[in-house]
Amino acid sequence: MSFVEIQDVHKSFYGKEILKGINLTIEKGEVIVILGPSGSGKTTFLRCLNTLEKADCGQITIDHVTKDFAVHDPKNTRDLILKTAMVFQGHALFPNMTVLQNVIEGLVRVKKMPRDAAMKLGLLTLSEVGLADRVSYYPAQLSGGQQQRAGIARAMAMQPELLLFDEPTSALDPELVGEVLAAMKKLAQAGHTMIVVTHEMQFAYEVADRVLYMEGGVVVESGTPAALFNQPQDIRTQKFLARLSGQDFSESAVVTL
Amino acid sequence: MTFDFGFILQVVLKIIPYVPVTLYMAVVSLIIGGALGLLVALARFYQVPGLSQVMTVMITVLKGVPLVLVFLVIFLITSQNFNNVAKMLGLHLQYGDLPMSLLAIIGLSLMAMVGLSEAFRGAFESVKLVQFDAARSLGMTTGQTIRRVLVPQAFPVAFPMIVNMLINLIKGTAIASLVSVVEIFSAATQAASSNYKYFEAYIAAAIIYWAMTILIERGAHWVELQLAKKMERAIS
Repeated sequence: MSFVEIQDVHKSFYGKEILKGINLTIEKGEVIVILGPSGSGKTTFLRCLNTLEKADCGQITIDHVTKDFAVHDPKNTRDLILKTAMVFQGHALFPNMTVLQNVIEGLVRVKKMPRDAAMKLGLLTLSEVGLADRVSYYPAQLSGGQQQRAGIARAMAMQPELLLFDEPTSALDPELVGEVLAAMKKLAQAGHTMIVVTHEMQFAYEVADRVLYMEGGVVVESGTPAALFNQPQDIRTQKFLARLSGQDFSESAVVTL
Repeated sequence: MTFDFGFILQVVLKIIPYVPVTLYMAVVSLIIGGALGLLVALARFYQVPGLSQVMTVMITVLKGVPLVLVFLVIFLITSQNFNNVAKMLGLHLQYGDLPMSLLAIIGLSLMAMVGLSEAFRGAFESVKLVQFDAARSLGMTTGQTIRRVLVPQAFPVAFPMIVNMLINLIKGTAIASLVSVVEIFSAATQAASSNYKYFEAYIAAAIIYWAMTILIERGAHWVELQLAKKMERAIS
């Protein structure tokens, strides 16, 4: 049995089906990158995995914790939440706490870790993302890249089995993207299991073990980065990649006044 | 009409001892009303089934009438029924034994609850949705999210309205003079009853209210600066 098994996730909003049955199995230490146009359901899929969005049906198993999304069971839901951690688009740090307080909040309140042990782990995690000298700053006093790295540290400190990244760089200024991607690459190389929704093709190419292309609520195609980028099989994948690389403008609408 | 400056000063000195009574009624009402208002706002923000609707109706009813009416209704209900209820509960208490400032505090607390519940609800709405996602993804319970994320972030937003409410409550305490509580306003009126210099007495009362308001606003401004220091970009 695989480390993470996701079966048949369905989700509708207001009668419109956004996810039409997603299946995914992930091995321990694998890095999955999900690509797709906006509205393809990739963010919704990610949010369903840690129950930020309640999926209509489907099931997930992470490291022997199984959660059936259709069943209401708060204890089970909590077990699942603690197996995952999420990094959001736009940092989502708590502005009323310092960086260190942000990182240890979950450890102290949720995992009931003693404060000094939590501080130790928090400081260690923050130094891993290069923020050792910013621990007592408030989020508003940091740059966008630093905020996002602190967000990664907060997720990491919870020691999850599965890390979820929801477009972690798309709200950043271009010159700040690199430092965040570097921090994520370091996590991938350290053997963490990750699902990353992103538009950073270079990152996908270098770091992903497998790339999924989603469109219209289904996984259209998946494969190694080399296979998917160089020989996309499905016409939709081909068109998407062509639009991104600018090779084919036949699909894009011409602006007329 | 001659204007007696000396008498204004006399009345000011005479009513200063009643400043603590006024402040006591206003501050206690702010605390009780604030606590109730917070509960009402939370019930409505989290849309607690049943409770949320009841709160909405209650707020609408209270918001739609003048404070003096609420106050007199409380007075009528309590003055007619208190002795019977106390007897039923086996308490050796008469209505006359109760401090009349208690009535003012009940009325003012209701007024504070209505105003502050709306202030808190607005402040809650200003907290970004992703903050709740972040709290949930860390595994925080709803109670922890309220205590650690929602209230601390909403408080600086609601703070100016809380201060405004304190000022309104201080002015509202004048209503307690209706049930013979001696506070700033009734003390000023009494001072003038011997020589009919009501105009001067009212000016003296106004001076005290102005002074209190100005001091509170100055203090609040300082606190606001402290609150803004660390989160200035986050709450702007």
